[in-house]
Amino acid sequence: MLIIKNLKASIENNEILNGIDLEVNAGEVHAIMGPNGSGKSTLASVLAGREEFEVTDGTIVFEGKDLMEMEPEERAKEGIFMAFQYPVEIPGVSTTNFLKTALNQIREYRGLQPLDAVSFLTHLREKMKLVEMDQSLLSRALNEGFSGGEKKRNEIFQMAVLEPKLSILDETDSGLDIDALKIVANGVNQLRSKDKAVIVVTHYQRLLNFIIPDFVHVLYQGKIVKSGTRELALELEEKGYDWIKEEYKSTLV
Amino acid sequence: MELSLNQVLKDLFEKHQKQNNGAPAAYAEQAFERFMKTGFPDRKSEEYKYFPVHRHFPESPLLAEKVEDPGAHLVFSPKLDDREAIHLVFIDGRLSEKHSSRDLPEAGLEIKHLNQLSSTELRELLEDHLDTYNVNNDPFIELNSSFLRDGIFIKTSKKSSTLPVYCYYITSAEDVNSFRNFRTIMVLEQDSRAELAEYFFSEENAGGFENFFTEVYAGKGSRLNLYRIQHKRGKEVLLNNINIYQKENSLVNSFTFSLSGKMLRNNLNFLLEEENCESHLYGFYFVDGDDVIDNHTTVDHQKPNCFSNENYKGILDKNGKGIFNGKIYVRQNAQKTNAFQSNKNIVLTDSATINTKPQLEIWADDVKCSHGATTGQLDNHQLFYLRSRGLDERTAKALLLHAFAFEIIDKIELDPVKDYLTKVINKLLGYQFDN
Ligand SMILES: Nc1ncnc2c1ncn2[C@@H]1O[C@H](COP(=O)(O)OP(=O)(O)O)[C@@H](O)[C@H]1O
Ligand SMILES: [Mg+2]
Repeated sequence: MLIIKNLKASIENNEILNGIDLEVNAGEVHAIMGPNGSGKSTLASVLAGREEFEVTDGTIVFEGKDLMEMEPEERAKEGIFMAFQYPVEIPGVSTTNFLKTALNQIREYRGLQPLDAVSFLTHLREKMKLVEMDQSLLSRALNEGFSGGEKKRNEIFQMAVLEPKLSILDETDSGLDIDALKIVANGVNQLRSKDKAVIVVTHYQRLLNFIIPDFVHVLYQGKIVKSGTRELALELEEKGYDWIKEEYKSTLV
Repeated sequence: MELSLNQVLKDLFEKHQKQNNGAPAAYAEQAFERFMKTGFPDRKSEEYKYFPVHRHFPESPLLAEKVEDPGAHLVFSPKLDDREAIHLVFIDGRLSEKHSSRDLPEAGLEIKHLNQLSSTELRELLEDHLDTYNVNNDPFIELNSSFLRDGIFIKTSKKSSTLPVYCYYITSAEDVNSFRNFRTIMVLEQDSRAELAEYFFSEENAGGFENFFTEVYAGKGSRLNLYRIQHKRGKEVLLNNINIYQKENSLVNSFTFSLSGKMLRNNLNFLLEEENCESHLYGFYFVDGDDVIDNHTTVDHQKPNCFSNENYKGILDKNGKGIFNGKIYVRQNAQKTNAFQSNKNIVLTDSATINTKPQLEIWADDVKCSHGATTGQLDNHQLFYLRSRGLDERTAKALLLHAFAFEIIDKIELDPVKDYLTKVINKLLGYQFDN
């Protein structure tokens, strides 16, 4: 589904991603872990198409198409969704209103009929139940005055509504208490299917107790320095990141 | 050049006085004397620094002729409201009876067309009601009084209904030399309520110079919503002074929507003459093409315990030039004044500009005042967020601009005006959503 080869990206001439190779197939869940500042959010943003980052080398192919050629909205229409680490507040724009427009633009792109007001509402209700989202949040301005947890839940709610093929969750677990975490994880799990894939970015293994990954990668200084299975996450939880850093340094000499 | 403009106006004034079909001679003469003291604004004039009005005044100004019904041959009905309401349609500053519906006896309003009053009646009306206070010595207020001949007088009483009054000012004149002065006088008697919407409109061929002056006397305990919608497509200059005199316990909400105009200037002056007045000044301007739109506002707190709140927002596109100047005066005995001001702008292109300037002058010590101005582009993070959800760039931009403008539109209490503005502004911003 997604093939990243030797991806390098920089911002203001600082190289942040240093040659990333990653392959994600339909049906898989990949966890990307790593200490703060290692480039996890940068990777997620580059996949979503944030223009501040300049891709200096490498390729990203999504379902056989060159992702780099696409505007952020085209990527969304192709089926990529990123849950932001820091969702922005947009005063004056209601979640419902903008989601309806987004969903219908995506449907149009895929050759589907737009949903009318009634079917959209039915669709919305179903997804609200899934993430136990409160109606009152939806009629308010997008994320404005939402608590950290409410913002994260709103991200997962939007993911559920838009039904992407590849979801990238950037630290969706941070700022969530255990109940909210379970709800979010449950939402993600219900959307897992053999033709969908998920990339979970986190630096705690806590979330991975609820969303069981098929693969775990450690990102450090803009490179994937170690890959493994679920056990790697447990090892990181136990030992921290220092041994990874040591191991990585020794490969440099 | 500047000197000669004053001379041109002097000649015009003398000619006008001789014809003796305008305001009472003494009234006009005093006004013209005051005008001559300041003279026509030139390039050194601080108040008109960014609005070079001297370059746009006709070289040989012509006052409009008296016509029977200027709208007799026009097929035009830009009604903002389908419900029962009072509609007064003016074409080039002349009332068109054909298009107006003012005689609603049940409304219980007193409406007088100044042009139909005898000189004595006009003098009496001016003496009874007019007490113009020219807070910033604006020369156009004096010119308006000097050439006063046409206008409308509206008076509400406690017994009158609150049917909205719509004034449509339509420009059809094409002559660049045409110089039109028009006065709107609204008197709210004690405890009365009213809604007044002033709508300025023109087609592409319109030209000339328009000097409008609206005066509102808000009596004790009265409440007024005042809407001003400016959507001009012609080449004419619109100079618009609005004075609002508020008495004890009155409440006035003013809305100014400047949607288009080659040269458009509003001087909105709130004069809080007694205690416990409340004033809200909302504004939205969209400056596109080569338009120049200038909003100068003054809130003059003269007495204690008044509250004023101002919120103006603007979007500047193409080569548009926007100007905002917000004066707040708090006079020495206006203790316990609360005065707030905010001006926010979004600039969409490199060649669009906005000049924004708050001007607070406070002589009292126990006051709460704040002001803030921001100018920026659309927020990139917000834009990316929306696009990452699948909205194309154009739609995402329109959605953000709509949200920006909607904060002001949302304050409108008169539904037909709100619906109309929502529709027109969304169209201007390229926003097309079905809900
Ligand atoms: N907009 C930016 N401008 C400059 N540096 C940035 C920007 N965004 C991220 N960085 C830098 O890139 C590095 C990686 O950041 P990030 O991808 O957010 O890491 P992570 O998500 O793994 O914590 C950090 O050193 C950070 O300071
Ligand atoms: Mg991060």
